[in-house]
Parts: sequence; C-alpha cells; structure tokens
Amino acid sequence: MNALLLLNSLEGFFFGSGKAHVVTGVALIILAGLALSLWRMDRRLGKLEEEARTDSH
Amino acid sequence: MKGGWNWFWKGGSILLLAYVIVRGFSTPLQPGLVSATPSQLTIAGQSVILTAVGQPFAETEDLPEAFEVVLRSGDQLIQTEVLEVSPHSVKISVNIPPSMPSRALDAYLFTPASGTLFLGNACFVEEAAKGDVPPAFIAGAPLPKAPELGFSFPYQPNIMESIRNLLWHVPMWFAMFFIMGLGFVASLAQLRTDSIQWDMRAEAAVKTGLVFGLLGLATGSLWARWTWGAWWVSDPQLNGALVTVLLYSGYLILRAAMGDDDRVGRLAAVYNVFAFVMLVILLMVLPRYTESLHPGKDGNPGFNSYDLDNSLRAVFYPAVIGWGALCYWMYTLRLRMNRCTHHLLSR
Amino acid sequence: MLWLVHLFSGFTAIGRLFDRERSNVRRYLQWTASPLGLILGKLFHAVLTTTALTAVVLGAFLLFLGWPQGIESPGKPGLLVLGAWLGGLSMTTTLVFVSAVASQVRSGSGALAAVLGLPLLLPQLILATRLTRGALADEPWTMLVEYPLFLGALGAGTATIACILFPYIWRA
Repeated sequence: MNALLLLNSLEGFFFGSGKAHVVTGVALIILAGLALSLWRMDRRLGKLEEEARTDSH
Repeated sequence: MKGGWNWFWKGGSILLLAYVIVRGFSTPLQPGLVSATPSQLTIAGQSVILTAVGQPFAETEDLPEAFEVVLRSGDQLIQTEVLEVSPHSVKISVNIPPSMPSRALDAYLFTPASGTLFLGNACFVEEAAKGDVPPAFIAGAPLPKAPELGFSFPYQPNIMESIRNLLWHVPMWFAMFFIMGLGFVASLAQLRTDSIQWDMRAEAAVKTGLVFGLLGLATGSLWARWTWGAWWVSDPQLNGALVTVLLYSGYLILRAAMGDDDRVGRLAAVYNVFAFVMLVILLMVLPRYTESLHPGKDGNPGFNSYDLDNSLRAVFYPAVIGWGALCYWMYTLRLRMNRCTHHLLSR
Repeated sequence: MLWLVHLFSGFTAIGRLFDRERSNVRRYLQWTASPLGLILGKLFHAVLTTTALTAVVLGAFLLFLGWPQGIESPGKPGLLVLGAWLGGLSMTTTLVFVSAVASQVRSGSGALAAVLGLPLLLPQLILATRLTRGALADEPWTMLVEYPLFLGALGAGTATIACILFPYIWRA
C-alpha cells in the first residue's frame, strides 16, 4: 500500500492511502442529502400547489 | 401515470449519479510511466529506473524476463535488459550507443498484463553524435502485446488520476448550457407574448444555471490547479466562463434593481437573450479560434481520446444524463416556487 | 494603461448618452422617433465618439509618454491605431446596449450600467490589449490577424443584437 505513496506522494494518495473509499462515501452522503432536501421541497411545493388550486376555486 | 414518470426520472437522476460516484472513484487507473531516473545518460553501460503511476503493472512475484523495455531514438530501437521489476517500477540496464538519430529517447515498456507503457522524451543523451545506431545496439523489435486490462480509466500524461474530474466538470457545464438554453427560449417567448409565465421560467432557468456554472468553475479551477499548476490561468475558455457567470449574475442584479417594476419581465428577457448570445460566442466560438490550453479547443487534443475510451464512456454518459436531469429537477422546483409566490402575491 | 484611460473615458461618455434625455425629451422621442432609428442614431453617435476618443487618447499618449520604452522597432502603427479603434468600438457598442437597459431602471442606473458592463468588457479588453501589445512588439501578421477580426465581429454582433432587442425596451 505505502509503496504507491512513496513513489509519488500526490498520485499515490488516491488509492495508495486507501482514502478512495472515504471520498466515495462522503460524496454519496452529500448526494443523499441533496436528494432528500430536493424531495422534501418537491413534496412541500406539491402541497402548496394543492392549496392554491382549492383556493382559486 | 404522470406521477410515476416524475418519480422515475427524478429518482433515476439520483441513482445514476450514485452509480457515477461509485464507478468514478473505484475504477482503477491504467498504469502509465511518469519518469526515468537518471534522465541524463552518458555513452556507457548504465542502469535506469522507470517509474509508473496508476494501478500496478506487475505482481511482486513476476520475473524480470516477462518484461521488455526498449528505448527509441528517432525510428530506431535500442535494446535494454530488465534487471528488476516491482509493482510500479522497472530497473533496466542499457548500453548507450555513441551515435543515434535523436538525442531524446522515448521509452517503451512491454508488460504481460498491462499492455505497453510509453514515456515520451524519457531520457537525453547530451554527447551522442548524430547518425544511425550501430547494429550491435539495435533491439529486435518485440511485438506489443494486446492489453488485457479490466475495467479501468485510460492514463493520460499530466491528467493521471484527475481524469475522474471529467465526470463532474464536463457534465456540469453541459447541464448549464442546457438550462441556459431553456432560459433563452423562455425569454424569446416572453418577448413575443409578454406573459409572466415565460418570465418565471426564464428566471428559474438562469438561477439554476448559475448554480451549475459556479460548480463548473469550481471543478475546473481544481482541475487547472492539478494539471496546469495554478488555480486560474488567463485563457480564452476560462475567461469566457468567468464572464458568462458574471453576466448571468448581472441578470439577477438587474432584476433586484428593478424591484417590482412591471417592466421587469420584458427588460430581464432582453438582457437574458443578449446574455445567452454572449455565452455562445464566449464559450463556443471564441475559444475555438484563439489559442487555448483547454481540451477540445484550438486543435488541443484530449477530448476525443477520452471520449473514445469505452470504460470512461460507460460512466461519462450516465453522468451527463444524471446531472442534466438533476439540473432540470432543480429548475422545475424553482419554477413552481415562483408560481406559488406569484399566486400568493396576486391574491 | 492606455486601455484604462480609454475605458473610463468611454464609460462616462456613453453613460451620458442615455442620461441626458430624461423626462421631456424622452417623451417627445417616444412619440416621434422609431426605436430602430433611435438605436442606430445612438450607435452612430457612439462610433463618432469612439473615433474622436481614440484619436485624442492615442495622441496624448504618444505626446506625453512617447513610443514605449524598450521597443526599438517601429512596430505596426497602423495596426495599433486600428486595434485601439476597434477595441474602443466594440466596447462602446456593448456599453450603449447595457446603458440602454440600465436607463430603464429608475434608481441608480449609472451604477447599474457599470456593474452590468464591466464583465462584458473584460473579453474585449483582453483581446484589445493583446492586439495592441502585438502591434507594438511587431509580431507577424498571421499571429495577429484574428484579433481585429474578433473585435470587429464582437462589436458588430453586439450592435446587431442591440438593434433587434432595443424596440422591446423602448416600447415599455
């Protein structure tokens, strides 16, 4: 594992340090958070639209 | 039925992006040679170490005989002997001939499992005379073996591991182009009909597009730092991108300055049409005709060679679709928000 | 340096262009003049102003500072003048459009024009400085020929868009 880091500290860092999984995990968590917030916004807007529709009748 | 389709593409965009993240970060990079030490050689027998990055090209128990290295000067090949092999480097012994067609030597490394690795201008022989390589030094041309690589990203000099950024940077700009184009159409329709519906669409598109433009700038800057060595270089493509983002920020400033003036829709539409035309000129026309470092411009290769690679394509296209759909989702949310606000205000 | 002076003089000159006719004159124009004629007139005015400005600024620079130090060869004076003129031209046409938009905003239109115009002038400024530097350094024609073309095209492009879009602003 460390041979990569010794060879080229910057290049080897990605897989050599075993941190690639951490990066993937963090990116996936951010994506999940984004999806959750968008989904909640979508639902809330749906409710508002429903209210507006009944409102205008 | 309509609701089902909605959940399909919205959820689909998230799933595609999750796939892109996992595939993009876990796929290994094909090995590539980065350096030869020493790089200055003299006319004598000496040993040179070639170093590579990316996934290992050799197992620890591999024998040196399975590998072959030749140095190329002009169109002639100089033979070497492989002494030691480690997962990321080979040690060779080479007899440098007194004369050769070119003083700059390229190195080829033939591996049993990872195909042929190449390093241009690997070493220089200052004192070599110009001429043919004497026959005693010439290598019997070894046949390049077809690579038996698994799913892996291609190695590009300078770009190396950062090739993964292709899956972020490029689709983000595509998404911005797409949504800004939508805003342009909406603004044209607004000018034609003078309807607030189209104005709300244009406003939502520009706001969403700006987010993606900023993300594109940020990922591009990161990439520039890694490949060109600076966070920002003065380049037609980069400056054009910055100006575009500033231009669209101007759209928001204009709207804010107008307040609730009833001409805001038309004026904003005029500005938006102008901004989009400038975007096309600045990002798609101008950089193609002036010298630019950015790939895909001014005969600068790279884009094609990434695109042609199947492994990259298998992740790149989902990334484009995923980011595009996510961008469109954000746009529809913003638009619905605008409509709700409008409804409340006009009640 | 040359471009800094050029830019600011251009800014103030064009800012005036739409400011001057407030209230009465404007109402009068709205009744009589066609919007297309109006914008063409403004652009023409801008062209004249730029030409005069280029002459004055370039002349003053050569008079007070002389030919730039450290450059022995005569360079390409014709191209220098052409670059300064075209650069100024494409900038002023952009500014005409931007200030036309900004003049519709009731409060702080001058500041708004500056904010909106600055990013737009950036690429033209870069192209123009590159061109004039090349002209001074006597670079070969083949390397420089695209810059005046771009400047001209940008100027003509913005002028065309301005002509197409201006009626929409004016009718409001």
